Amino acid sequence: MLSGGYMGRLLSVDLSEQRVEELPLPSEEILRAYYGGAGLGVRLLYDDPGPHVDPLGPENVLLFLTGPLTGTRVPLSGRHAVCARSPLTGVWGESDIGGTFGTALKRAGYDGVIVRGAAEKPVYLWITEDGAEIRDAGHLWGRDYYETDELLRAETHPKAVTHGIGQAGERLCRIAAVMSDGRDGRAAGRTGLGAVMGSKRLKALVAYGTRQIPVADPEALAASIKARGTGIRGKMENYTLFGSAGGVEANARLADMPAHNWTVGDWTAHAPKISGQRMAETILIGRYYCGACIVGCGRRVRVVDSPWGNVDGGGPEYEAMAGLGSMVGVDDLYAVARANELCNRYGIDVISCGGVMGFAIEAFEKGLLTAADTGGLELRWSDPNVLLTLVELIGRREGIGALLGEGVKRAAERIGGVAAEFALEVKGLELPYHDPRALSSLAVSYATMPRGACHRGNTHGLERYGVPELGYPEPLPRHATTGKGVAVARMQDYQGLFNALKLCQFMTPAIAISDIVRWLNAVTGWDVTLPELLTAGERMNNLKRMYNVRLGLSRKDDALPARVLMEAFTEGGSAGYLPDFVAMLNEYYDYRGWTRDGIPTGGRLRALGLDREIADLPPAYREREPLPRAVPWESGAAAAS
Amino acid sequence: MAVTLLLREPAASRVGASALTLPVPTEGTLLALLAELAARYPRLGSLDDLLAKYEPFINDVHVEPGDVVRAPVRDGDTVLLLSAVSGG
Repeated sequence: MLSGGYMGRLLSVDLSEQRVEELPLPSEEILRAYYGGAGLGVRLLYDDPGPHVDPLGPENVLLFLTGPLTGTRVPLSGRHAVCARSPLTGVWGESDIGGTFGTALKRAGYDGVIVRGAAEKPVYLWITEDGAEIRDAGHLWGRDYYETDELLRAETHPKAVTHGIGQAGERLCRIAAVMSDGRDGRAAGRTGLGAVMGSKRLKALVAYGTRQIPVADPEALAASIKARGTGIRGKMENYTLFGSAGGVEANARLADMPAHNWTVGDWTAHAPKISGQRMAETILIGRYYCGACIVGCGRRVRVVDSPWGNVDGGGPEYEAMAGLGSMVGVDDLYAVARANELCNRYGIDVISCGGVMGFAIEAFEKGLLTAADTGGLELRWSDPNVLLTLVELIGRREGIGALLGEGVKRAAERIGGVAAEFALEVKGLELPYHDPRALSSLAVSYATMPRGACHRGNTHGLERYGVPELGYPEPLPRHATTGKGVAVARMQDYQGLFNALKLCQFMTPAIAISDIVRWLNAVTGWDVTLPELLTAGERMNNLKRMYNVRLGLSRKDDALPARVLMEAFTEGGSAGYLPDFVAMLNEYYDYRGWTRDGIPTGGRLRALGLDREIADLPPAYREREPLPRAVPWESGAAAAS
Repeated sequence: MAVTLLLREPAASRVGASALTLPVPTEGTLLALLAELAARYPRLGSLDDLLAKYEPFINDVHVEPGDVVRAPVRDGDTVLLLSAVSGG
């Protein structure tokens, strides 16, 4: 009997059979090994259905999973995960999202939703304390997400929270997002999971409930939150004031904010025009909070009478400023804000959208795309009209947007020639907007994150601040090589826990790992130790790796685009530097206990309790033992240097 | 023997200026300069706050967090402080 943190039930929905049933959560042993969110998600999907499914077929299983901390008073814990095999990459797919849907789902009495099959006609799922109901969504199909949210709350409950797709997901655009919280515009953007919803004709999930999330030791939880709470708010003040876009100008000066499809190293003259500070001076009208948040990085903006169109809702975060701004050379805040709203309405991942648009403009510049391909649109840098037109076309999957909505890897393959040379992706996922030439850890992190090029390993955090309990009391030099492979592995495992417990990673520099241990134990009643917690993080990452290994992935797939490895900037804050990728990757594999082929050894899997998965390794790796290593949280050893 | 400080938000509002001049500290380091800044303008918070919330640049060259202690500041230098937001 679980004493806290979990509601104890999952909703299982078969859209082909139009059937809804309640399932008990997996055993406490499984929960303590994977917690929830994307951690529990990979445990469930690894076995059922496994990776060998058509991502857009009814056999793909789509998960919406909260964590044990979701909905509690733990700061910045109102999050959940969406998981499935990705239609964009074909490998492990997960996307982490804030907002309040996770909290609403738990208050309705469920820790998660498992969606199987595909409906014949559009439907949505209405989830309350009385159960769940599959409802017709014919009147919503074809509408954007903002409209959908308003209609659904009007016909269900005014305080219900919606989690759904716009036209991009309906039309199986492979860079489609799953949106949440209406105009507050939170997104599970990455890996195209909005298209999985579209393939199932599932327009939205809507949740409302009033149940309390059980907490094993409320007094201990209150005391630990009180001890840390004010410090979090103070340390994260810049997020409150300016949102994540508050770092735009500094990032641009480090050449960390990619511009013109990763070709321009000095965009510092433009960056202040689309910074969070500029937004605060102009279009900001308020801020919004995810569940249990005390920071409020969400930007509520309003633009009227702009030549680019009105905006009323969520404003651009850092990744949107880069993807819809610097990547295409646009420094008009009003245009970027409008493009961001269009992405929210259509349900498009702003990161992948920026990636394919920057790629398309460069392809046009090189003559690989012409006006005949674009319906007459001249694709040029720094043109807000190009930006807004491309977003519209991608969202509607029309014209050149149909090609670009396939993602940059497929688009480059279809264009052919040298197009792949400037299609920046890893495993088919467009690079997010921090540059490995500015922060070297990102080279190996982008290459090895389970879902493809992903910044949620937050390894670049270790190049800005220390994490003492991982063995790094001070930050690492941003252009160093030695030690970065180890640091990346440790940080990926630590940060993966945020996506299992469901905590906001922005909080990382404001807390200690031991805070998480205290919160988790107070909520669940467990006696988890710090080494146990970090081992769980490593276990989850290894299981995601094994999901991909079963699909045939290995070192050959841990590859970075040549541009960030071979084309040094000649100007800006990282001029002349290229990351030593091979050295860092080898160090990373050695530390992980994987072979230099990028395959986990049987010995490492065994040490992590993944004995059953050893049989999924190619035979030559099953008896291999990992290299010896020391970790500071077990032995007190110093961090590898 | 002075250093020019260029400030962006939120530092500029708290100091009441987007540029100011401070004498080169006796220790001749960026850390000492920031300590002096924090002492003169308490609304900026403590020295630790400054180190956590701002990215410093000397003459347009970024100073890594681990180098702040020994990074030299000299007469005529320009130090830029930008708000640090590591995530996103």
